[in-house]
Amino acid sequence: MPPFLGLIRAQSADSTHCTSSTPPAPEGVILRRPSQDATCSHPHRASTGSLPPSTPSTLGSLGTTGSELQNHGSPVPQSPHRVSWIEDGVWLPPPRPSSLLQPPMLELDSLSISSIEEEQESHVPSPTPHHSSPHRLADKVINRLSAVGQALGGLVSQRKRLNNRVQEMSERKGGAFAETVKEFVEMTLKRGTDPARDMGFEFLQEVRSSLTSLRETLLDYPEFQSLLDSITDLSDLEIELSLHKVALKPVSAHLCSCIHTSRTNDGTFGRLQSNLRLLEKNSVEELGGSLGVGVPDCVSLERIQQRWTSMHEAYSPDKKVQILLKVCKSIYHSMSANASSARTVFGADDFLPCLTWVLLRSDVVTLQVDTDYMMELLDPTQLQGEGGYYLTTIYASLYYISSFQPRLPARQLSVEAQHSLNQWHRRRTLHCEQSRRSKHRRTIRRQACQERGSQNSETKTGSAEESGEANDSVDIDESQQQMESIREAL
Amino acid sequence: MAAGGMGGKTYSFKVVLLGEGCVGKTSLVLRYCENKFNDKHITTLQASFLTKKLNITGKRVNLAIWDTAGQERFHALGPIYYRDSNGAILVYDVTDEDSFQKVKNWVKELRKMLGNEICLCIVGNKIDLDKDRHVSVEEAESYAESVGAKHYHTSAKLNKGIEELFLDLCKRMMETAQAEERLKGNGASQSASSRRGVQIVDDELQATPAGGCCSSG
Repeated sequence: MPPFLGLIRAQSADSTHCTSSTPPAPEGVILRRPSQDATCSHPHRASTGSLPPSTPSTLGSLGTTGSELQNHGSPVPQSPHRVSWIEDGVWLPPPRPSSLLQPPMLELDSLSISSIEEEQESHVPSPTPHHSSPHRLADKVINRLSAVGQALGGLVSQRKRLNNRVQEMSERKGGAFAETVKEFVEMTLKRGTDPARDMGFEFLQEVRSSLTSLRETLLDYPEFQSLLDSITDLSDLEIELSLHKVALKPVSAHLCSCIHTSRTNDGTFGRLQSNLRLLEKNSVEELGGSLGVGVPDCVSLERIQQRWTSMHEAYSPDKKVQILLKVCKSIYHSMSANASSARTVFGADDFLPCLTWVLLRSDVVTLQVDTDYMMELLDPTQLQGEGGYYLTTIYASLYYISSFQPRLPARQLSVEAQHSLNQWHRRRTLHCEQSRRSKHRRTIRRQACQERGSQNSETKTGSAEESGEANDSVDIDESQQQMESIREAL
Repeated sequence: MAAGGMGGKTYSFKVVLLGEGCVGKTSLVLRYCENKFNDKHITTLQASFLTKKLNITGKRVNLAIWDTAGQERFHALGPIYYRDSNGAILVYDVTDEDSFQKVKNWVKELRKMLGNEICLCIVGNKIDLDKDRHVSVEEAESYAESVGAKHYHTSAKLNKGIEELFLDLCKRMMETAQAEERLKGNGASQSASSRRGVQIVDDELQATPAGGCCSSG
């Protein structure tokens, strides 16, 4: 598992806006604002309104003067600690005693090598120029920066070479990879518009397997192989990320809007929003947390909201997961730091209630879209690691909220939930098999596409059976029986 | 990938930790992994997701341990977590009869949902409180045997029985994975989950029979 925690900066400057109901994130995350600014009276909750379908915001608006003003209405921060992309706490000295606000994260959680080059190419002006930092800090920071920078310089250039090559190959006229990317983007943008045909997550599973096929196409190029041979320190994740840039970025807004439509139609959003009203007054103890466990204060909560916004803006599922992990980390921090008892270690018994508590103060609709996006599009090899665990946890937490029914036995698992789990499972096994049999990959995909193409008019169930879904039906039957037996046991 | 064998040398296993709240799941796994904290992990101080690397008879094993919330209200979330697990550790508190009943429910559910490929460990924790024991050793052990699970007694507090539990579980998961490899013939090893799911054979999409669905509970 590549160590992908904490390598990517929260505010990914090159991220596309998917459909968004929240204002774009301010480009600079404010770590410590002047203390008079800390009079945050109420935890901020972003609007839970519906997302307009397929309206990618222009990236340009991000870099304009508006970004500061949109910072939840707070005045332009005057913190001297902001040093362009390093505002995230990594390079900063320990908090000064004069600051009332604590940085939620003290670890190396947001150093991003990739964000350096991404910012360069996206031309987003940093809100605060470097020279405005106080000398004391600047010296320290610059020293550390240059030392680490030299060590990382090789990595940055390797990553850049990889990205540039993939970019170049995706634009090469007549090239097989370029053609496949083009075809993928065009096909994907056409799909998902017909509610009778493309709803549900089958479509996203196809997108995922196309991404894998694209990666294989790339790896089949001898020139790409020799590039990989010449660079040593980059993981598979880097190839995946560079692929996201050329293939997923153009379609991410569309995919978000498809998920949104799908979740609107299956009633998830309606349930989420009505249950949110039922549950939002609950304390973390009422949500199942043990007595005395801490929850984020309003400052941390506001920061979490900013991270959710960044998460929504990222087009790469891997980058989204990175941001999710940062949020989880800050929740853990609050659990111990704000605990009324002396316990400092908490497991899932307490984390899930705390995460749920946070979600109940967040834009659950957008989070559901992002969670689905990650669940469906993340490379399955990532799903067993830490990212997979916390992704599963946010999925579970959202499911807990949307399925909350105070009068029903807690053990009842709805048929819909089973179905969705089975579909997810199917994608993963299918995809893992694909990875294993890489040489057959494209053949399989084409065949699968043809099959689907010939069955466009049929119902989803029909096509599912054709593509080998008999198992899942069995699964569903089994689990229904099983749930019945559990109900009997109750 | 549930069980990847790279030339039969490295295994990656997912183990899910189930059991009522307060039976000591978290302490158990924390005790096991506490010397292995990786500072790059979110879990430096936390214990919901932990990893451990082992070397067993010359084979490398990467263990990913998934903690779950044990409260009754979260029971329905179980399948979201235990999907694709190679092993499950079902923890009860030896002083709490009810927590043992919960374990029985989990066994039934796991056998129904995942078949016999998942290695089950039933763990009576808190044996340091043996004087308050409410679950008899004989009952627990014979139950475990009857459902094809192994039974262990542990104390997270005294660090008793925990190494044995995980080592044993790893060996069993390796055996299962190896048996599967043999079954599949040479070359590619399969993930345990793939036998329960869709397989692609020779460019065709084929359904395979579902894995064991015996409910030995």
